[in-house]
Amino acid sequence: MPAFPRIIEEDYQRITAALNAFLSRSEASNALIVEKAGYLIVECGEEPPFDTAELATLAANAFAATQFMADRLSETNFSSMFQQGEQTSVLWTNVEENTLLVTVFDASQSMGAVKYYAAETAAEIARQISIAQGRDQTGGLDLAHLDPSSADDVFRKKSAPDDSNESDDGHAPAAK
Amino acid sequence: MAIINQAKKEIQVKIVYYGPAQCGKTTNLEKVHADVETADPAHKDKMVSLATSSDRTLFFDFLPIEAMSIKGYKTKFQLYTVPGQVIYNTTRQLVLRGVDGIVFVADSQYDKMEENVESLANLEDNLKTLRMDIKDIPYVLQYNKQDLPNIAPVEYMEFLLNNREVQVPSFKASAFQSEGVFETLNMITKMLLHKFINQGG
Repeated sequence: MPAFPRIIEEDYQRITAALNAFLSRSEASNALIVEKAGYLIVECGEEPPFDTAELATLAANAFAATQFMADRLSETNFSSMFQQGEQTSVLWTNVEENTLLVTVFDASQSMGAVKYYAAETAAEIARQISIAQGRDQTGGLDLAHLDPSSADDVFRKKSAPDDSNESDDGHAPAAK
Repeated sequence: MAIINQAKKEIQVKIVYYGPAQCGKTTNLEKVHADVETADPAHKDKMVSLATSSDRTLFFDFLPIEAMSIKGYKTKFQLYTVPGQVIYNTTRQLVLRGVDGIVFVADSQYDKMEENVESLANLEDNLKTLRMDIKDIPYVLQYNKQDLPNIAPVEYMEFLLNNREVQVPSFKASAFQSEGVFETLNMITKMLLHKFINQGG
């Protein structure tokens, strides 16, 4: 299967425009394009009261779990998933093999309308991703002069680590 | 595979911590989260743990962490753990989707050697199911729980887990004491950067 392609400015603008048009028609509050391994690609909508990267990861993995269920039920896939909340609802819509549209909307809204517009938007975004997949995926990011030895300390440990040791792996607390 | 977003100048990379039940995968992420030096501690990313009531990983742990810029691109690493318990194999396959690099956490206690070997074989099987090959994916071994008394010699663990044509880097660690955790993470990061360079990005 083709991998999720590199996104260039043109893709980003077209996907953003499609999401904004979708939000305007559906009156949903937020729309996220999520790669199914858990990466947030594009987000549109109101200033969210939640961490969108975190929501993207949870949404991608929850949807992936339903695909395993589909497989066990001899279904090719489930094209959408819905969770009704008291205040907020979430709709997952399959865009293409690697991509999902996650829509967050007020629970008082009609799911049918959101689902209808989401399906249209998903088809439009799938076309753009297909265009992106058709481009050469090898150029555009030259890392030739990057020195990997500089990665020795990409992640540095703080000099005075927090010592609040609680472990789930069978250790007794360290002596202080 | 890594996601390159040229419009947002972002590279996103997925690293999965794999290994037998209770080997310290979650502890590794907890220590990275607690001890990592960040430019802006007020906006530190949160760690998400989907665990059972007894604190065993049910689905996965997730820690987003941002590293240096590469040629003006923000590099965002997504660190995941898988549930180690044997019954959650489907969940492990699910979390492995799109993985770029793997840290295999082995439990150094003598009586855990069989579980380590089974878990590594299980990793290879699960990658095959996802049409991936462990030979194509950068991975490192971490011999964890070095602080416990009944541990096997590293040479024995190397023989059991790293006895291959091309050996991978391995680290002694005590994740509980935050020892070896950053060395392991920095090595897998370095290997991933090497891979990106060799592939021209």
